[in-house]
Amino acid sequence: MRFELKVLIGFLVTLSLVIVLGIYSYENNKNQLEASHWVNHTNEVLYRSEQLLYTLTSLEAAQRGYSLTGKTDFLIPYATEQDSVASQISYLFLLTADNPRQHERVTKLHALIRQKLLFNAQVITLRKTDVQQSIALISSLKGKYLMDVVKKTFTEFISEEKTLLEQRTLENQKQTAKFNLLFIATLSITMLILLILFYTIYINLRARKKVEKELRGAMADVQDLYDNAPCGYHSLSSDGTVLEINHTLLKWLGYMREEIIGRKKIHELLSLDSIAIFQHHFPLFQQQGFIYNVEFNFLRKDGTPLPVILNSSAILDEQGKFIKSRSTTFDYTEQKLAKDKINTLNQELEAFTYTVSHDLRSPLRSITGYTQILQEDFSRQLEGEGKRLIEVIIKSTRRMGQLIDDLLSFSQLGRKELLHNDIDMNLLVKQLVRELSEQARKHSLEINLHPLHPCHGDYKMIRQVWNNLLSNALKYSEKRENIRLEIASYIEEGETCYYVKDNGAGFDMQFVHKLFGVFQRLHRINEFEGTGVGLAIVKRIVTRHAGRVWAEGKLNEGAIFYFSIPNQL
Amino acid sequence: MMNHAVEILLVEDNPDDAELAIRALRKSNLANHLLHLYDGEEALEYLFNEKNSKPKIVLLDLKMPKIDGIEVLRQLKTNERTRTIPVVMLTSSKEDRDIIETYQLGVNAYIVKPVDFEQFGKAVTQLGMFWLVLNQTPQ
Repeated sequence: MRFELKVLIGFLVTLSLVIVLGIYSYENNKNQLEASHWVNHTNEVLYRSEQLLYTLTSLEAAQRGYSLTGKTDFLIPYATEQDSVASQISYLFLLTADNPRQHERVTKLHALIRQKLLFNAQVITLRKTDVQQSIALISSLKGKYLMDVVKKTFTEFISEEKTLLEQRTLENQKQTAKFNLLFIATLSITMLILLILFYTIYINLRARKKVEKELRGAMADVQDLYDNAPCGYHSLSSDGTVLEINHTLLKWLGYMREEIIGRKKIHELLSLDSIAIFQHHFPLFQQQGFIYNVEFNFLRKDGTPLPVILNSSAILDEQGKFIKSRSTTFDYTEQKLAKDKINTLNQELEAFTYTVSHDLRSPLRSITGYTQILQEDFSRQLEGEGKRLIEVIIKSTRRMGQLIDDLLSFSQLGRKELLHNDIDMNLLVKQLVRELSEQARKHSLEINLHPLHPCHGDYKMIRQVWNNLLSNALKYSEKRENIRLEIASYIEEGETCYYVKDNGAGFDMQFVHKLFGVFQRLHRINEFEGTGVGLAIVKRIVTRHAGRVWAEGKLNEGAIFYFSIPNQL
Repeated sequence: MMNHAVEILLVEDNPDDAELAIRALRKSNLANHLLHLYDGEEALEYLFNEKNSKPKIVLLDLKMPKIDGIEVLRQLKTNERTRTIPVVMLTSSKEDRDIIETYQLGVNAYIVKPVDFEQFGKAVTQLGMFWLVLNQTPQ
């Protein structure tokens, strides 16, 4: 169970227990109050009944005193208390309304007391007029009996009330004991739950503190990596203000952190041409969320430029709004120097090949030209061997011219800008096949052209690849009676592969590594013509398209030449 | 030769190439009124001299010492008098970077000097025929 859920459940249980405890205490308190009310009530009844009995006793004493002595002083209680007897009885009557048995007793007492008081009144009245008669009335013991019955009834009444009192007090004590037990139990459970809850929270808090500490350590590590990485890091806000920057970039630029963060906008740190690039790319970047390999020139504090390669991704909030950039920069100084050097070397190479092509071709032209003059104008003076030698010279110079041309076009391939076209390979190959099969008309030619996948690349260059492969296939098959070519393509792991299969002279697989080298030939010149540049050109073009070339073959049985072009160039 | 109106002006510093070209033209009977000059400076001097008649065609080598073919072409095409003379550039290879520039300057044609002399002869002859016999230049 999740920690938060545990704590919530623990809290809810504790809360319910406290509420239950509160309600229970309230109820118990109410019951207790009621119980003590009944005890009070019983005490009141007892008190009232005893008071009534006392009043009656004192009236009895007054009547007896008067009867004995005839002194009216004894009759004072009659004046003061006789009237209160009625009200005392009716009060008692009211008090016992809840208990039918006692109520009945009070009714009975009421009747007895009235008889007794009437008897007393008779005795007192007789005593005033005739002492003997009154003595006789007293001696009839009627008064004594009446009084005995009254006392007995009172005793019963009081005893019942006392029993009630005992019962109620006992009940009350039981209730209190039960409440105390339940209260303590619930309280203990609540405390136990609270303890468990506290322990759980404490354990959790300790774990959190540990994680926090580890996290702080990890963050310090990350910060250290960020600051001392071998590349520059920085972040920009949407208006181009520098929000973060690492030590490495600061060191490169020669600034202090305080001089940059929140104070400088990025264009204050860029060269003029880079500001234009930034202003062009930054809005685009904020939309598309990333930018790769852009060249920028930072300006150091001392004003010297710092060429960098920049990659950046945008940090967005949950609504997709731009928060900041996170950019990585690499010092591009050395690469730039190397690149400039390569450019210089390339230019030198180009100048060299240009000169070679011009300067070598010129004497070559003279040799062919003059040899031809020799052949045309002086053939009569020449023997058969002399004519053959002239043929050899002409043929050799022609071949040298071809070699120079091929070398020149090969060297130019590497420098030519690559164009990006969507190429319909079917159309391209069909055209080429038509042109080439016209040249090979004298042979029986069977071409199996499967539908080809389209590709993305430089149209002219790819056409050159097909041209070289197809003319090679025809050239090396021309000694066959029936030339059979198969052209097809297939897709494999992010690249499209094309191949040309022929049934020609083939080659020995142990020389396969030589096939694509410049001026490498696997056949003697008098077997098949050629300068050995065709496949080297194929390789160079395909490599420039980030593709691969390879071949399979068997001597005298044919060859398959493959090339692949990546689907994403 | 100065007495006759010059029809073809060949500007070529390489004597072998010049000889072969002249020979090819001669075979087609086109070399009768031909003047061969050896560099750009001579060519400009000749062409800008008003005493000399305007040639019907100039065959201009691209690479020459002192003033090269491109500079000669530029000056010819910016001069009111010589602007209309057809100019054919002779180059050593069709890969020349300068070919594009010559077209921008208004060259009328160019031929690559083939290594094969036979082809070269043919090319020069056909060109000579076209510009001398068939083409009418504004006078």
